[in-house]
Amino acid sequence: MSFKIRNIIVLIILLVSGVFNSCIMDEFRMNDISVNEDLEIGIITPLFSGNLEFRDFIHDWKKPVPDLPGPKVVLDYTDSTDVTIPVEMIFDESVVIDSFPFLIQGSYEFVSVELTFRVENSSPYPLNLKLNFYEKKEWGNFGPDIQPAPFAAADFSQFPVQPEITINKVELTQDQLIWFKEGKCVLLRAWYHNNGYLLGDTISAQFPIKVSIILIGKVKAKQDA
Amino acid sequence: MCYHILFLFQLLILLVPGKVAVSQINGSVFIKPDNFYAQLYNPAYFRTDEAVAFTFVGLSGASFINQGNFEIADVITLNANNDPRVDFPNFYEASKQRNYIRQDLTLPILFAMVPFKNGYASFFYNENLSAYSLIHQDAIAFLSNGNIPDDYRNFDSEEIKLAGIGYREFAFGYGKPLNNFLNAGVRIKLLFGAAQADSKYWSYGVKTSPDGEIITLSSLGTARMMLPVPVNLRENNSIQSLDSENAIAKYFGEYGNPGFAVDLGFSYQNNERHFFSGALRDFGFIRFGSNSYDVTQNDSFDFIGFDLLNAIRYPEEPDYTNSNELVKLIKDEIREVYQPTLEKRKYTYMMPVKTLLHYHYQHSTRHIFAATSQMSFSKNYYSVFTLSALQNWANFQIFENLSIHNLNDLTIGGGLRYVGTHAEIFAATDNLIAFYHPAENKTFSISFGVCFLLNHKKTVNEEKFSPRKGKISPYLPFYEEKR
Repeated sequence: MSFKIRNIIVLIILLVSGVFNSCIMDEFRMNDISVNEDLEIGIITPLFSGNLEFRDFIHDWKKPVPDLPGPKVVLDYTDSTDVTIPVEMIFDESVVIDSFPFLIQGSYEFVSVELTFRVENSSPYPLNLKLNFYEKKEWGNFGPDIQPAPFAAADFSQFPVQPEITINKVELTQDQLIWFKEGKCVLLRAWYHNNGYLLGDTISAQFPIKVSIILIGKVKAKQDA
Repeated sequence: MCYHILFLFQLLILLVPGKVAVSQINGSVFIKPDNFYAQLYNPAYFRTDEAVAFTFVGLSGASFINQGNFEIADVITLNANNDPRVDFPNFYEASKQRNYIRQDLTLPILFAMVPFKNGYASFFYNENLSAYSLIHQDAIAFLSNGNIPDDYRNFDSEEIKLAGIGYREFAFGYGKPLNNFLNAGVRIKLLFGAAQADSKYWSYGVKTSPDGEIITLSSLGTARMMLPVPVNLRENNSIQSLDSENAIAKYFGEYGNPGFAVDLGFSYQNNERHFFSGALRDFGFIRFGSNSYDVTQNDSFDFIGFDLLNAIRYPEEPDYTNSNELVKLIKDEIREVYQPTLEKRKYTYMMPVKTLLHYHYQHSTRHIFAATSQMSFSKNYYSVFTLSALQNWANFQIFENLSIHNLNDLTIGGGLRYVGTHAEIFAATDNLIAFYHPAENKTFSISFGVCFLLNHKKTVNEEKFSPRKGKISPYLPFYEEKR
């Protein structure tokens, strides 16, 4: 063999070193690997729900009933003592949840959110809801209002009364989305719209009102997570 | 004839893919019985030159195999800045119905082989680590799509399989020639399990009601697990934390799970042309009893959102729960779905039995052609069938091989080996292309190492006796042909 072994070894070493120098090995550094920043996953999930009653959207009952001028009405409770309140309270905006912890953040972040409000209203008045997200330690510094259209009142013109189901959707603006992502608390305010339904001396405190808020959105991985 | 039947048997059953993590090396190394990696895998392989062979961690190298039915590049892609990213949509596009990947690492810590009573006695201490993962296409689709599309409203991951074992083996072997043709060897191995996990029917579900008002999260499955670090449990026996301090030291100091295994081997050569060898390895078990558990998950939770009633109602009313407490309770209930419970349990892990059959044909002093079959049997099996060609120069060999891994992958590999006066050095792979871009290859393996030799004489370079420098006699020497 004219080609000496040592020459073959040198050639092989050169070949191997050439191959190694051109290797694409950097993909295997585990610390550099994260989830693709372009990946967005669609999520639908319930956010809030509750089988509530008419009285729940009138006042924060942890606080005393204000002594407002004007006509009064008796809230009729089936199993407990009736409560007399100013009529104006029903139609005035009131805080019904002042600080509900909203801790949904994780190693992902929302890039778009649509909230679907579904209200089954058995009361005689259309219901208004308004959500605000805020930082827990900054009471008063609330994010932009998230307010769906009013939820229709039940049809009291027929008997038995038929509850009305209304579904309203709110797609969050970028400003609202920022507060949605960063906020740690939820403020819920509510009031009834006076549609002219004639109040008597009493009104049932316990017209059922079923509320659910469903989140439909897209999430992606936080790159700094 | 027996060898042919065995060989045929192995050829037939390699047609069905297996799924158990195994320890196998490049088939070409079995051409040379004096290669110290081949000696690790066949106790009937030993030297014939009275040399003492030894090596230790740092120089003894390693054997690593990655095998799957998808490429790592299917899962991890590069973005515009060349940063590696886990890319679920790309993985989904490339995925099969069942997607599995296994890795196997063998690290010889100490190896010695010495001549003893007409044969060779050997000892080695190996660290072994195997892992296996399986994920179904539906699970990847869910990770890409979420639960908004109608097809994924009701999602079941199907079985997600995670299995792995880390163990060390202390092997004492002896091999000797039984006659002029047949060598036989046996190896007794003390095994010590350092970590183990094996899931069974492990799955997750997400069911979304048509109106989106209820999401049912569910989990199901059992597993066996042994960890080298202490586990702190909650009241419900789920894992609260792992005491991972000095985890590596605890791993290497774990000797509470003993086991035992036997290797048997033979080699047969009735003339210079044909060589057969075979081995049965790891016929044994490990008894896990230290920090070992039965693991169970079987839970579900209907999430309907955070209950406004609790937040709104006056605290003195029935069913009221403080909203902070409520959020914590619901999060805990969701976590519980994904927190399997543990129960202390001793169990026996049967080692996957491995077989090796090798045949080579010496065409000339320079050229050898070989066929090697390696298989691993457990609940299923995994096979590698290798066709090799070796070119031999006195102390230096180059070999090329074609390997079939089950029926999923075909790879072209090769390697080289040099045996000097004081050491043997070799490197072998079954996928040369993988050296350039491992991520774009489903299967790749590499074995390499250096072994020191004492009392060894380097083979004389045959070219010093080249026929071209003399004349060849046409007559046979020393005897007459009898009729």
